[in-house]
Amino acid sequence: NPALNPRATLSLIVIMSSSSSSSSAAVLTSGEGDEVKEQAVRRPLVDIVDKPLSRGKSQVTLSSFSYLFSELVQYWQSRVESTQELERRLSDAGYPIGLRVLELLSWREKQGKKEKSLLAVLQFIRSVVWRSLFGKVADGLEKSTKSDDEYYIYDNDPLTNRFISVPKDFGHLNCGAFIAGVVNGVLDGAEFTATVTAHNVPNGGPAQTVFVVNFDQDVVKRDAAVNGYK
Amino acid sequence: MVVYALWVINKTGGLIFDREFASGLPELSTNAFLKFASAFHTQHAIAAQLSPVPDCKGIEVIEAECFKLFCYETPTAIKFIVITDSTVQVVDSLLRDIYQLYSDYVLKNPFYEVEQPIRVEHWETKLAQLVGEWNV
Repeated sequence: NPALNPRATLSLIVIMSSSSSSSSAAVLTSGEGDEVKEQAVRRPLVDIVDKPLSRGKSQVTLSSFSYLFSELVQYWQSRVESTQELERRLSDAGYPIGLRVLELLSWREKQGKKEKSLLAVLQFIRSVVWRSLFGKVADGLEKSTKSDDEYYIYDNDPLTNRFISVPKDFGHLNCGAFIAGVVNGVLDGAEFTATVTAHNVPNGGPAQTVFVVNFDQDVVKRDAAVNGYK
Repeated sequence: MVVYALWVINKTGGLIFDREFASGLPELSTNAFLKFASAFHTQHAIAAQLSPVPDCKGIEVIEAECFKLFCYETPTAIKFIVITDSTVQVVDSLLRDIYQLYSDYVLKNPFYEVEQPIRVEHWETKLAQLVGEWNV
Protein backbone atom coordinates (compact mmCIF):
# COMPACT_ATOMS: atom_id res chain seq x y z
CA ASN A 1 0.00 0.00 0.00
CA PRO A 2 1.91 3.07 -1.15
CA ALA A 3 0.17 5.35 1.31
CA LEU A 4 1.84 3.49 4.17
CA ASN A 5 5.34 3.53 2.67
CA PRO A 6 7.34 5.85 4.90
CA ARG A 7 9.87 6.52 2.18
CA ALA A 8 7.34 7.77 -0.33
CA THR A 9 7.58 11.50 -0.58
CA LEU A 10 5.24 11.92 -3.47
CA SER A 11 2.43 9.80 -4.62
CA LEU A 12 0.50 10.55 -7.75
CA ILE A 13 -2.45 8.71 -9.05
CA VAL A 14 -2.51 8.78 -12.79
CA ILE A 15 -5.47 7.50 -14.60
CA MET A 16 -4.67 6.41 -18.08
CA SER A 17 -7.09 7.82 -20.52
CA SER A 18 -9.63 5.49 -21.99
CA SER A 19 -8.31 6.13 -25.47
CA SER A 20 -5.26 4.00 -24.74
CA SER A 21 -5.59 0.26 -24.72
CA SER A 22 -5.29 -0.15 -20.98
CA SER A 23 -7.64 1.57 -18.64
CA SER A 24 -5.94 0.62 -15.43
CA ALA A 25 -4.99 3.12 -12.79
CA ALA A 26 -1.29 3.31 -12.09
CA VAL A 27 0.11 4.59 -8.86
CA LEU A 28 3.45 6.35 -9.07
CA THR A 29 5.49 6.84 -5.94
CA SER A 30 8.85 8.49 -5.66
CA GLY A 31 11.11 7.62 -2.80
CA GLU A 32 14.37 9.11 -1.57
CA GLY A 33 16.40 8.13 -4.56
CA ASP A 34 13.79 9.34 -6.92
CA GLU A 35 13.05 5.85 -8.14
CA VAL A 36 9.68 5.51 -9.68
CA LYS A 37 7.85 2.26 -9.15
CA GLU A 38 4.71 1.50 -11.00
CA GLN A 39 2.25 -0.67 -9.23
CA ALA A 40 -0.31 -2.92 -10.75
CA VAL A 41 -4.05 -2.44 -10.78
CA ARG A 42 -5.22 -0.84 -7.56
CA ARG A 43 -6.86 -3.53 -5.44
CA PRO A 44 -9.84 -2.68 -3.23
CA LEU A 45 -8.75 -2.11 0.38
CA VAL A 46 -9.03 -5.27 2.48
CA ASP A 47 -9.83 -5.02 6.14
CA ILE A 48 -6.97 -6.48 8.14
CA VAL A 49 -9.26 -8.65 10.27
CA ASP A 50 -10.63 -10.37 7.17
CA LYS A 51 -7.22 -11.56 6.04
CA PRO A 52 -6.30 -15.13 6.97
CA LEU A 53 -3.99 -15.56 9.95
CA SER A 54 -0.39 -15.94 8.93
CA ARG A 55 1.83 -18.40 10.67
CA GLY A 56 3.98 -15.48 11.70
CA LYS A 57 7.72 -15.24 12.15
CA SER A 58 8.80 -17.78 14.68
CA GLN A 59 11.92 -15.90 15.65
CA VAL A 60 12.63 -12.69 17.49
CA THR A 61 16.08 -11.19 17.86
CA LEU A 62 17.81 -12.08 21.10
CA SER A 63 18.70 -8.43 21.65
CA SER A 64 15.07 -7.28 21.51
CA PHE A 65 14.06 -9.90 24.03
CA SER A 66 17.03 -9.12 26.29
CA TYR A 67 16.31 -5.40 26.38
CA LEU A 68 12.62 -5.99 27.00
CA PHE A 69 13.34 -8.50 29.75
CA SER A 70 15.88 -6.16 31.31
CA GLU A 71 13.19 -3.46 31.48
CA LEU A 72 10.77 -5.93 33.07
CA VAL A 73 13.29 -6.75 35.79
CA GLN A 74 14.08 -3.07 36.37
CA TYR A 75 10.37 -2.22 36.57
CA TRP A 76 9.68 -4.71 39.33
CA GLN A 77 12.96 -4.19 41.11
CA SER A 78 11.98 -0.65 42.02
CA ARG A 79 8.61 -1.84 43.36
CA VAL A 80 9.41 -4.86 45.53
CA GLU A 81 10.89 -5.29 48.96
CA SER A 82 12.74 -8.59 48.66
CA THR A 83 14.36 -10.87 46.10
CA GLN A 84 11.71 -13.56 46.69
CA GLU A 85 9.05 -11.08 45.72
CA LEU A 86 11.01 -10.07 42.61
CA GLU A 87 11.24 -13.72 41.59
CA ARG A 88 7.53 -14.12 42.23
CA ARG A 89 6.70 -11.10 40.05
CA LEU A 90 8.86 -12.42 37.22
CA SER A 91 7.18 -15.79 37.58
CA ASP A 92 3.75 -14.14 37.43
CA ALA A 93 4.82 -12.40 34.23
CA GLY A 94 5.71 -15.72 32.63
CA TYR A 95 2.57 -17.57 33.72
CA PRO A 96 0.14 -16.31 31.05
CA ILE A 97 2.77 -17.06 28.42
CA GLY A 98 2.77 -20.67 29.58
CA LEU A 99 -1.00 -20.93 29.23
CA ARG A 100 -0.88 -19.59 25.69
CA VAL A 101 2.15 -21.62 24.68
CA LEU A 102 0.38 -24.81 25.79
CA GLU A 103 -2.63 -24.06 23.59
CA LEU A 104 -0.55 -23.03 20.62
CA LEU A 105 1.84 -25.94 20.71
CA SER A 106 -0.89 -28.50 21.39
CA TRP A 107 -2.60 -27.25 18.26
CA ARG A 108 0.45 -26.86 16.04
CA GLU A 109 2.70 -29.68 17.11
CA LYS A 110 0.38 -32.36 18.41
CA GLN A 111 -2.91 -31.90 16.54
CA GLY A 112 -4.73 -31.14 19.76
CA LYS A 113 -3.74 -34.32 21.57
CA LYS A 114 -3.76 -34.03 25.35
CA GLU A 115 -1.03 -35.38 27.62
CA LYS A 116 -2.39 -37.88 30.11
CA SER A 117 0.52 -38.72 32.37
CA LEU A 118 2.95 -36.77 34.51
CA LEU A 119 6.01 -38.00 32.66
CA ALA A 120 4.44 -37.29 29.28
CA VAL A 121 3.67 -33.69 30.15
CA LEU A 122 7.17 -33.21 31.51
CA GLN A 123 8.65 -34.67 28.33
CA PHE A 124 6.40 -32.34 26.34
CA ILE A 125 7.75 -29.36 28.25
CA ARG A 126 11.30 -30.53 28.05
CA SER A 127 11.29 -31.07 24.30
CA VAL A 128 8.45 -29.33 22.46
CA VAL A 129 8.04 -26.25 24.63
CA TRP A 130 11.75 -25.70 25.11
CA ARG A 131 12.46 -26.15 21.42
CA SER A 132 9.76 -23.73 20.38
CA LEU A 133 10.78 -21.07 22.89
CA PHE A 134 14.55 -21.43 22.95
CA GLY A 135 15.53 -23.41 19.88
CA LYS A 136 16.94 -26.37 21.81
CA VAL A 137 15.64 -29.07 24.16
CA ALA A 138 16.18 -28.74 27.88
CA ASP A 139 19.44 -30.24 29.02
CA GLY A 140 18.07 -32.61 31.60
CA LEU A 141 14.97 -34.01 33.22
CA GLU A 142 15.28 -35.89 36.50
CA LYS A 143 13.03 -37.22 39.19
CA SER A 144 13.94 -36.38 42.73
CA THR A 145 14.99 -39.19 45.05
CA LYS A 146 13.70 -37.28 48.04
CA SER A 147 9.99 -37.15 47.25
CA ASP A 148 7.68 -38.51 44.61
CA ASP A 149 6.20 -35.15 43.66
CA GLU A 150 9.44 -33.38 42.80
CA TYR A 151 11.08 -33.26 39.39
CA TYR A 152 14.00 -31.29 38.03
CA ILE A 153 14.43 -29.69 34.61
CA TYR A 154 17.95 -28.50 33.84
CA ASP A 155 19.02 -25.75 31.48
CA ASN A 156 22.70 -25.00 31.08
CA ASP A 157 22.24 -21.52 29.70
CA PRO A 158 18.77 -20.05 30.16
CA LEU A 159 18.07 -17.26 27.73
CA THR A 160 16.80 -14.89 30.37
CA ASN A 161 20.04 -15.03 32.33
CA ARG A 162 22.55 -14.80 29.54
CA PHE A 163 23.27 -11.08 29.76
CA ILE A 164 22.44 -10.59 33.40
CA SER A 165 25.09 -10.47 36.13
CA VAL A 166 23.42 -10.46 39.52
CA PRO A 167 25.30 -8.21 41.96
CA LYS A 168 26.49 -9.85 45.17
CA ASP A 169 23.99 -8.11 47.43
CA PHE A 170 21.06 -9.71 45.62
CA GLY A 171 21.91 -13.12 46.97
CA HIS A 172 20.45 -16.03 45.08
CA LEU A 173 18.20 -14.14 42.71
CA ASN A 174 17.69 -16.12 39.53
CA CYS A 175 15.90 -14.34 36.72
CA GLY A 176 15.03 -17.74 35.29
CA ALA A 177 12.01 -17.31 37.57
CA PHE A 178 10.38 -15.94 34.42
CA ILE A 179 10.87 -19.29 32.66
CA ALA A 180 9.69 -21.05 35.81
CA GLY A 181 6.47 -19.06 35.47
CA VAL A 182 6.11 -20.21 31.86
CA VAL A 183 6.50 -23.85 32.92
CA ASN A 184 4.00 -23.27 35.71
CA GLY A 185 1.50 -21.91 33.20
CA VAL A 186 1.95 -24.90 30.91
CA LEU A 187 1.44 -27.35 33.77
CA ASP A 188 -1.56 -25.59 35.25
CA GLY A 189 -3.15 -25.35 31.83
CA ALA A 190 -2.60 -29.06 31.24
CA GLU A 191 -4.26 -29.76 34.63
CA PHE A 192 -1.13 -30.97 36.38
CA THR A 193 -1.04 -28.19 38.97
CA ALA A 194 2.38 -27.59 40.45
CA THR A 195 4.70 -24.97 41.84
CA VAL A 196 7.84 -24.27 39.84
CA THR A 197 10.90 -22.39 41.04
CA ALA A 198 14.27 -21.61 39.47
CA HIS A 199 17.55 -22.10 41.29
CA ASN A 200 21.22 -21.76 40.51
CA VAL A 201 23.02 -25.07 40.49
CA PRO A 202 25.98 -24.75 42.86
CA ASN A 203 28.19 -27.36 41.25
CA GLY A 204 27.02 -27.06 37.71
CA GLY A 205 28.32 -24.79 34.98
CA PRO A 206 28.43 -21.03 35.55
CA ALA A 207 24.97 -20.40 34.14
CA GLN A 208 23.27 -23.70 34.87
CA THR A 209 19.79 -23.37 36.29
CA VAL A 210 17.49 -26.06 37.66
CA PHE A 211 13.71 -25.67 37.56
CA VAL A 212 12.22 -27.53 40.50
CA VAL A 213 8.69 -28.76 39.79
CA ASN A 214 6.58 -29.73 42.80
CA PHE A 215 3.31 -31.31 41.82
CA ASP A 216 0.26 -31.11 44.07
CA GLN A 217 -0.49 -34.24 46.06
CA ASP A 218 -3.84 -34.92 44.39
CA VAL A 219 -2.18 -34.72 40.97
CA VAL A 220 0.36 -37.33 42.03
CA LYS A 221 -2.39 -39.57 43.42
CA ARG A 222 -4.49 -39.19 40.30
CA ASP A 223 -1.53 -39.99 38.08
CA ALA A 224 -0.66 -43.07 40.06
CA ALA A 225 -4.29 -44.27 39.95
CA VAL A 226 -4.67 -43.69 36.22
CA ASN A 227 -1.29 -44.83 35.00
CA GLY A 228 0.07 -47.03 37.72
CA TYR A 229 3.78 -47.13 38.32
CA LYS A 230 5.62 -48.24 35.21
CA MET B 1 51.65 -6.55 20.48
CA VAL B 2 50.46 -5.70 23.93
CA VAL B 3 47.27 -4.04 25.07
CA TYR B 4 48.08 -2.39 28.37
CA ALA B 5 44.82 -0.91 29.50
CA LEU B 6 41.23 -0.07 28.67
CA TRP B 7 39.37 3.04 29.79
CA VAL B 8 35.70 3.72 29.25
CA ILE B 9 34.53 7.31 29.48
CA ASN B 10 30.88 8.27 29.62
CA LYS B 11 29.02 11.08 27.92
CA THR B 12 29.94 13.72 30.51
CA GLY B 13 33.64 12.89 30.66
CA GLY B 14 33.64 10.72 33.78
CA LEU B 15 35.71 7.57 33.87
CA ILE B 16 33.36 4.63 34.34
CA PHE B 17 35.73 1.74 33.82
CA ASP B 18 39.49 1.22 33.84
CA ARG B 19 41.32 -2.06 33.70
CA GLU B 20 44.96 -2.96 33.28
CA PHE B 21 45.75 -6.06 31.23
CA ALA B 22 49.52 -6.12 31.25
CA SER B 23 52.13 -4.72 33.56
CA GLY B 24 54.21 -1.83 32.41
CA LEU B 25 52.02 1.13 33.19
CA PRO B 26 52.99 3.24 36.20
CA GLU B 27 51.07 2.71 39.40
CA LEU B 28 48.66 5.59 39.85
CA SER B 29 45.74 6.33 42.13
CA THR B 30 42.16 6.17 40.91
CA ASN B 31 41.96 9.94 41.24
CA ALA B 32 44.76 10.37 38.75
CA PHE B 33 42.91 8.20 36.25
CA LEU B 34 39.75 10.23 36.76
CA LYS B 35 41.69 13.42 36.02
CA PHE B 36 43.31 11.90 32.93
CA ALA B 37 39.94 10.77 31.66
CA SER B 38 38.28 14.16 31.98
CA ALA B 39 41.35 15.86 30.49
CA PHE B 40 41.18 13.54 27.52
CA HIS B 41 37.48 14.13 27.17
CA THR B 42 37.95 17.90 26.94
CA GLN B 43 40.84 17.58 24.47
CA HIS B 44 38.76 15.23 22.35
CA ALA B 45 35.96 17.79 22.22
CA ILE B 46 38.34 20.67 21.44
CA ALA B 47 40.02 18.69 18.66
CA ALA B 48 36.68 18.01 17.03
CA GLN B 49 35.89 21.71 16.95
CA LEU B 50 39.35 23.02 16.01
CA SER B 51 39.70 20.82 12.99
CA PRO B 52 39.92 22.62 9.61
CA VAL B 53 38.21 19.67 8.00
CA PRO B 54 34.43 19.76 8.44
CA ASP B 55 32.66 16.84 10.14
CA CYS B 56 35.61 15.89 12.27
CA LYS B 57 35.06 13.33 14.97
CA GLY B 58 37.80 14.07 17.50
CA ILE B 59 41.02 12.39 18.56
CA GLU B 60 41.41 8.83 17.29
CA VAL B 61 45.08 8.03 17.88
CA ILE B 62 47.78 9.55 20.02
CA GLU B 63 51.26 8.29 19.12
CA ALA B 64 54.02 8.75 21.61
CA GLU B 65 57.53 7.41 21.73
CA CYS B 66 56.75 4.29 23.74
CA PHE B 67 53.01 3.83 23.56
CA LYS B 68 49.92 4.50 21.49
CA LEU B 69 46.49 5.51 22.62
CA PHE B 70 43.46 4.63 20.49
CA CYS B 71 40.04 6.10 21.05
CA TYR B 72 36.72 4.95 19.63
CA GLU B 73 33.70 7.17 20.22
CA THR B 74 30.34 5.50 19.86
CA PRO B 75 27.27 7.26 18.45
CA THR B 76 26.07 7.57 22.06
CA ALA B 77 29.20 9.55 23.09
CA ILE B 78 30.80 6.72 25.08
CA LYS B 79 34.55 6.60 24.49
CA PHE B 80 36.56 3.39 24.57
CA ILE B 81 40.26 4.06 24.98
CA VAL B 82 42.94 1.40 24.71
CA ILE B 83 46.57 2.00 25.52
CA THR B 84 48.96 -0.25 23.64
CA ASP B 85 52.65 -0.45 22.86
CA SER B 86 54.07 1.25 19.79
CA THR B 87 54.15 -1.82 17.57
CA VAL B 88 50.40 -1.96 17.23
CA GLN B 89 49.10 -0.49 13.99
CA VAL B 90 45.38 -0.92 14.04
CA VAL B 91 42.96 -1.91 16.78
CA ASP B 92 39.66 -1.18 15.05
CA SER B 93 38.36 -4.71 15.39
CA LEU B 94 39.30 -4.87 19.06
CA LEU B 95 37.49 -1.62 19.79
CA ARG B 96 34.40 -2.77 17.96
CA ASP B 97 34.42 -6.09 19.81
CA ILE B 98 34.71 -4.24 23.10
CA TYR B 99 31.75 -2.08 22.12
CA GLN B 100 29.83 -5.23 21.25
CA LEU B 101 30.59 -6.75 24.65
CA TYR B 102 29.57 -3.49 26.31
CA SER B 103 26.22 -3.37 24.56
CA ASP B 104 25.60 -7.04 25.38
CA TYR B 105 26.74 -7.54 28.95
CA VAL B 106 26.48 -4.05 30.35
CA LEU B 107 23.49 -2.48 28.64
CA LYS B 108 21.27 -5.56 28.75
CA ASN B 109 21.96 -6.01 32.45
CA PRO B 110 19.02 -4.71 34.47
CA PHE B 111 21.25 -4.02 37.46
CA TYR B 112 23.42 -1.49 35.67
CA GLU B 113 22.54 2.19 35.60
CA VAL B 114 23.64 3.89 32.42
CA GLU B 115 26.55 6.37 32.70
CA GLN B 116 27.53 4.97 36.13
CA PRO B 117 30.74 3.09 36.97
CA ILE B 118 30.62 -0.38 35.43
CA ARG B 119 30.73 -3.23 37.94
CA VAL B 120 29.44 -6.16 35.94
CA GLU B 121 30.99 -9.59 36.38
CA HIS B 122 30.15 -11.08 32.96
CA TRP B 123 31.57 -8.04 31.17
CA GLU B 124 34.87 -8.32 33.02
CA THR B 125 35.23 -12.03 32.31
CA LYS B 126 34.45 -11.67 28.62
CA LEU B 127 36.72 -8.65 28.35
CA ALA B 128 39.61 -10.50 29.95
CA GLN B 129 39.04 -13.32 27.47
CA LEU B 130 38.98 -10.96 24.48
CA VAL B 131 42.08 -9.01 25.43
CA GLY B 132 43.81 -12.24 26.43
CA GLU B 133 43.50 -13.34 22.82
CA TRP B 134 45.13 -10.12 21.67
CA ASN B 135 47.90 -10.17 24.17
CA VAL B 136 49.08 -13.68 23.42
